[in-house]
Amino acid sequence: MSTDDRFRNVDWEDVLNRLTLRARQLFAAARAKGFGNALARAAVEPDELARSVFVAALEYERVKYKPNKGASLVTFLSRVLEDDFKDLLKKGVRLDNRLMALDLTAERQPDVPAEPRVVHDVGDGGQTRVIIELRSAALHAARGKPDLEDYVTAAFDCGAATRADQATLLGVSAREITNRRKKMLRLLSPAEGETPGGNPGGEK
Amino acid sequence: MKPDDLEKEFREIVRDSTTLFGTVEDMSPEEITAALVDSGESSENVRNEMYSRLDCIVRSIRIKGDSPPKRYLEALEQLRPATELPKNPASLQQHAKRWVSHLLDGRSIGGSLEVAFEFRNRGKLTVDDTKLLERAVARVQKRIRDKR
Repeated sequence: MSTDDRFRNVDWEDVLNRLTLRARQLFAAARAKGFGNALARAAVEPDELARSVFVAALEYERVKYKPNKGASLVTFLSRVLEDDFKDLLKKGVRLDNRLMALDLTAERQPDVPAEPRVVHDVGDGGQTRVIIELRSAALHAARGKPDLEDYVTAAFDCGAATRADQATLLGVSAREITNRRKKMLRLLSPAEGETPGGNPGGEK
Repeated sequence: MKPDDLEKEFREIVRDSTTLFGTVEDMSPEEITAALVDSGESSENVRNEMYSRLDCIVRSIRIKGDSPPKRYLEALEQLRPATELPKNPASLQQHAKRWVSHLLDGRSIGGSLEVAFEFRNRGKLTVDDTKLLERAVARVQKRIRDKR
């Protein structure tokens, strides 16, 4: 089977959309858990990470999809994306620690523009970092919205991992669960130019 | 924080993000499109960005004197924006068909469906191209009427 044959009848736009959304989910979760600075130091946006995995699949060097192994292309590339994301986080944490070490005594110049999405004087990989569970960050973001609070509780505390289980547990339709997931992603995705922060869920 | 603890944290991010946001494999194309619009750039912008990048890669392969592999060309064709009309008649027909189908299922925009017929570079189209596009317009209009 030639390499081109492995990609016969692939809906590339669908693959790209799913990878992009998965990357945004991972970034939102990491920022909510307090890794916002590390991600800012790594200087890669979620959409760019998804594009790099897409290109790697086409290049067929580092990433080699074999349909006869059973996984769909989206499932396979999602795992690659997750691994690349973890590597990116490691790099970001390392850079953040190094910059913190170099910059401990430096005073910030008020007239120097702030780096986008970086909270100064706060390291998110060092000894002082406070681990925040995604559940806590999600509950904090959902505060005052009973439908979302119920959703987070169902997902994390009642073991309802699938959409069908969550819908049954909460007595709502599967479509409603999709809407609540969408709202959670929006709540945890900072708008362009915002710094990661807030409490909890941001840097301490 | 120790490396092992960090590794554990990273694994939890991957696991918990799935618990909170769901798995992208289980979502319908329409749900994916809507979620993209909600969380950042729309699927249309995502596609256009990828098209530009892929177009550059394909050009650089050609500049080296090589033929781009078929998978690259297929991906490029599928991601081609509506405004980038292909020169090859067969590709043009495929392009038109894909866009009609995208317009009808609302996948390319992610919001409410609004159709505006606008053909750029109309002067460069041949008579056959024009006929093909007019037939496509008629089919789209009929299918929209039927849907209502």
